[in-house]
Amino acid sequence: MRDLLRAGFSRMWRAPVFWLGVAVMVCCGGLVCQNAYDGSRRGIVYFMGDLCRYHCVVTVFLPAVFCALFLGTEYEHGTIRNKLVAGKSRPAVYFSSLILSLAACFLMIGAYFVPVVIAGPFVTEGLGMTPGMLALILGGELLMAAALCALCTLGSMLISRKALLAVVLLLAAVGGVVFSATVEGRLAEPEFYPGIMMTVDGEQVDTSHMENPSYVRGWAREIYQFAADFLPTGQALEYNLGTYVHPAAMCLYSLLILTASTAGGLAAFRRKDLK
Amino acid sequence: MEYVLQTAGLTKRYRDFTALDKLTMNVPRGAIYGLVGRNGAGKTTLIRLICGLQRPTAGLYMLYGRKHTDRDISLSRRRMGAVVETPSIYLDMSAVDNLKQQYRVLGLPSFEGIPELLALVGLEDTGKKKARHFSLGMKQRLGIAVALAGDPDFLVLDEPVNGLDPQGIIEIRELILRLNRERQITVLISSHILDELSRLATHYGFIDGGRMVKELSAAQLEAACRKCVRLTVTDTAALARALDGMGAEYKILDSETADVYQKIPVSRLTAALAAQGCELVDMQERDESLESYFVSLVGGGRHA
Repeated sequence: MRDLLRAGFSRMWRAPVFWLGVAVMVCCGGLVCQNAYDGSRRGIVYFMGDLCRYHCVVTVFLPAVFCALFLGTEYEHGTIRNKLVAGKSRPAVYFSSLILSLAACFLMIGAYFVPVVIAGPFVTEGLGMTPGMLALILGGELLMAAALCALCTLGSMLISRKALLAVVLLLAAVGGVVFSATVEGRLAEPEFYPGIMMTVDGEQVDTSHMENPSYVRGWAREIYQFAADFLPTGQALEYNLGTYVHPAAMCLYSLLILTASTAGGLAAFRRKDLK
Repeated sequence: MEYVLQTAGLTKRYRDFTALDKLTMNVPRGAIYGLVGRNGAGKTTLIRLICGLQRPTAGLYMLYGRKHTDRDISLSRRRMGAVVETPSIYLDMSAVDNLKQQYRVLGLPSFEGIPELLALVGLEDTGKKKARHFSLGMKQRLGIAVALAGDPDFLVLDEPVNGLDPQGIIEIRELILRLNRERQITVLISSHILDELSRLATHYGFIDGGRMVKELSAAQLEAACRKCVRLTVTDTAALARALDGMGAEYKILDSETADVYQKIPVSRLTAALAAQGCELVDMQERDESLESYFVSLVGGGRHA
């Protein structure tokens, strides 16, 4: 597998899609710092902990684009056959692809942190959370990215047509974000309407305890919360918005997705008839 | 005889369709083995199986004596290179970069063999030109160069001259012959361009409907296809006596026709037949080509 990784990294360093991703993330980091600077001039306080979370929604699209354009080329150009004909095993081909997508995604995320680490301390006021919590959040973000990479690698290894792969991965990423945003929106509904005083027929009515019918209660709320915590796109939104309530559980869910999708993908790739 | 590839009862089914049906074949070491068959006969499926791209439904194949189910089959695979259907090359890379990439995949320690390999396939002057801008023939030759990167001694080529212009066909043919003669590489070529195959192959396998119809060497095929003169006479017994008298090689087909496998003076023959009381009715030169042999084997319902 070392040979496959050597070949893969050599190709990655010269892949425009990788450097495009790096550039996009550097720009994201720069924009976040610029926004924090503008906010601080208006008296809004930002913390480093906040800046470390703002890349997550963009991160959802990194593995989808990278896997579709970089790994998808292996099928499009037929070069995956060269590896198998040369005697490389299917697990080696699968794992090398996964490691490549993980490395590319982590490096792109790392690119986001370059301007954040350089400029962040000048526009923020401290971490805003304990170092332990910050480490948990950063670890969770990386695991979320790893889970997305595993899912996108699975798609890349099983879908032979690059155009179809790109459509599937990007639609899945957009669909996942839209679905998770809907879930987040329902979870963010207030239980009660904000308190206002109204005069109805000359009598004053206090609405501060009027229940919100859109508020999700009971077992339904648990399902919504689970969907938000479990799905990588839900996690991305929760990290981005700072609405996470179970960060440790989210890490475990990401690990579960990473392991299950890799095991399932590998089993399917072993049986796949390649052309 | 030592065999590079042997298959036994090799079967591949896709749902209800049987692409390979208990196929048995033997590719001797040092041969240029022409796999002849119509479109859809199972040639590419066979190549995909032996390249490890697909798994057989039943049966087995052996590469250098190792069964495909053996754990160390990868050791045998390292001794082979293949171009399956289209050349497997990165279109956004130059010829040199494509070869470097394959060298890395193979774990080769240095790139020093690349200039020689490019010269071998005639791509030494392509510089930084991306493979995307290569002609079909150049892509095909680069695909072969990539397949040769591991210095294999078994090369599998699936329809290598498909879509090439006459010059490209000649270049590929000469390259294959050079690889076989100078490097002793065993070559398995699938093709339905029979005339082209007949200029290369030392052994043939005729495949139809996923089955091996006939396997034979070029010498055996030549014997089966050799030129003859078909004579129609009133009495083949008299003809046989006349031909025996002339020392000619012949084969009696029925009471009125016979094939003679050498040139004979017509006036002498007619005189000899007249002496035997026999009349020469018709005389036709016949030249059975690989194509007509193939048609006679598998029938001519569809095109090869």
